Amino acid sequence: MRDDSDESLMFRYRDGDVRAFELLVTRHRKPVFNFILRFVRDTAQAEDVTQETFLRLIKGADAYERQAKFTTWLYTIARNLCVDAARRGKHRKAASLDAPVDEEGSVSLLDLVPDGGAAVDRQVQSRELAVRLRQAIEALPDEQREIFLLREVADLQFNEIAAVVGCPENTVKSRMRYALEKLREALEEYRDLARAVQ
Amino acid sequence: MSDTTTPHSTNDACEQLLDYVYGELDEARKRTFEEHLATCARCQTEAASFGRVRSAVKRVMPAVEPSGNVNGALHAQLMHAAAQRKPRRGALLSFPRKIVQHPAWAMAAMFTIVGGAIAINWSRGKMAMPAMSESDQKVAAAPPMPEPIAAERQSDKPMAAAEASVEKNKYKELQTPKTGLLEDGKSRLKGGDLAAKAKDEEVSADKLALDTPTGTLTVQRPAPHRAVATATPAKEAPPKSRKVSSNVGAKFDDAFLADGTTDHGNVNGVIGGAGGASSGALGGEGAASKSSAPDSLSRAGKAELQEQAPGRDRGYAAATQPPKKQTWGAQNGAPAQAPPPPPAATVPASPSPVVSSRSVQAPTGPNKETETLRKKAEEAARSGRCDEAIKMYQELDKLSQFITPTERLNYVRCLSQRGRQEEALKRLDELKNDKRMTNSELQKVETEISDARRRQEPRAEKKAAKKPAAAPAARAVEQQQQRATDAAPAESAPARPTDTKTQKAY
Repeated sequence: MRDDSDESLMFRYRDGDVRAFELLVTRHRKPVFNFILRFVRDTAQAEDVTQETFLRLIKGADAYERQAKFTTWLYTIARNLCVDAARRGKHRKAASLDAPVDEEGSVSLLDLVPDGGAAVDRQVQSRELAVRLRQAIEALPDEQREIFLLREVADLQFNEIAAVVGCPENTVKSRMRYALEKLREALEEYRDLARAVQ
Repeated sequence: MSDTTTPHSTNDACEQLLDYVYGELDEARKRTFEEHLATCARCQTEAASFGRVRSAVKRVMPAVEPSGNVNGALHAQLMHAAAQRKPRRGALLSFPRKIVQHPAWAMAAMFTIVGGAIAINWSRGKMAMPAMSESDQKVAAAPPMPEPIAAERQSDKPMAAAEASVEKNKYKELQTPKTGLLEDGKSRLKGGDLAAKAKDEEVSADKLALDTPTGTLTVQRPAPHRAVATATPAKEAPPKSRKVSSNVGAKFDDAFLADGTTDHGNVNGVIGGAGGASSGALGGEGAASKSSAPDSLSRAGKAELQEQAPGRDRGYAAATQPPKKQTWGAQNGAPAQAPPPPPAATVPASPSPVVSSRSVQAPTGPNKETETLRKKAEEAARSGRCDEAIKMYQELDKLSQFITPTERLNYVRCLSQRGRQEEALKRLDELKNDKRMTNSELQKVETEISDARRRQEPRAEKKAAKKPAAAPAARAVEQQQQRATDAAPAESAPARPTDTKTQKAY
């Protein structure tokens, strides 16, 4: 019976089996892309970084060792590329009122500005909640945000995150707890606001 | 922000809240934590709130499918890149591969190899050929050659000519500086500083033992010739005497080119063993033996002989017939014995000469004595000390050392400057056949000689005018000397300790 774990696939590709690499790409493309998208917050840039991540895998295939878990290696590459991209994009990024605040592009900040209307329906409340939550996530410090994304989006375990980020597991849990508490606060603020409006 | 302290550091069980929320606890620890959770209100609150946040985040940030670009073109590009990668080969060759692929490594490796080779050569002989040692004197050379059957010669002519030309070309490049001479029934081969003598007891099918001043030289027959020899079975027992390679003579062709007096009638390149029978013009000490060896072996020799036999025959006689010309040593006027006439019994009929096409390449290499002598001779020639230079060149000749064309030219100049223009012109004629000499050099020296001759003529006339009575006597003496020289050129050769009757052109 053939072992189809990530590691064995990677070894097969290292020995020249391109099909194994294709399986790996198919298996990990979506979570990697989502993680990068939440990190860099730009779809085109996320595509480029995703492509570059897998190209780095190809280049580094010869150096891959069985001791390292494949996902840890993959997300280490993705995370480093994201940090580089975020560093480059930080200087040119400026918030625009017309820019969509959600991935679908349906809600802009102008939509969220109160127009004096008293009636707020449930759908609008839900949208506002989503916007506030995203804003709260983006407002997280980088070290908390990357851990939050690796845990929630990439679904890595804390020990894996510790390996990716390069810090102790307890530190990872601590940062995660702080991130969750901040998001909880943002949710409670919105709930209070919604109750007051109602 | 402090990452080191957690809000629940006081309670170890509370620290497992996150693991519980994210389902990373094993069954035992999960049960333990659930027991704690039932009693801890704060953990209950936090677990509930974190659960809500997680569910809200799931709703707000659903998993997004990559765009078609990622699934299409980018995916294809990625797969192409993955297919382009060559699988890793053995780790053993990784270092050589790195060297080959990296230009700097390749350069370093090249310098190391070339530098090492130069260093080795330098340490061995300072980039020069090493001096000849006894152990180095074993060289590949000509095998013995049995006599052919005379009757088969005529039919073999075309084939023999072809073989002869091949053989000749093969050994054309070999530098064998001295002529080989035969005398007293013993075959003596002069080459470099080696005077060779065949030894019957050491002669075998593939080897030839040659006596040299420094020891015995074993000459190995070249492999292809051995193959020929073994391929064709001998009709009779192999001859005891071995035929000297006529190519040896070929190497000394130039020495005889100008000498029209050389007798080519009996051209037998024979190295006869001292105790063994030999056939040839000069024969061996023992009785002549005629070999009926395979014809294939004799063809080349025959052909070369036939090719060389007419008037322009050059070197092959060197192995058998003493050239009727002055030698270097003869310039001193030292008396020497004429070689005894060959025994009639050993002289074959006119077209019968059997000359092997095998060559004996006597190794020549510079040694300290001869090199010093060479330098001194050159210095003497340059500084106008012609007598010394002539002596030194003759000494070199005695030592059977290879004399370069430039040295020959110096010798000719010295002769000319000492008033021996006739000799100088003779030597110059010989040099003209040396391909290494340039026309300009030869013309220059020729002009010098003719100038010197012109300068001397008035003096001679004056002397003749002063002493008219002494002239006929002097002329008679001169004529007598000239006759003696023509009759027996070897007589003028100086006596040599090992080879008193050897004559050489160079």
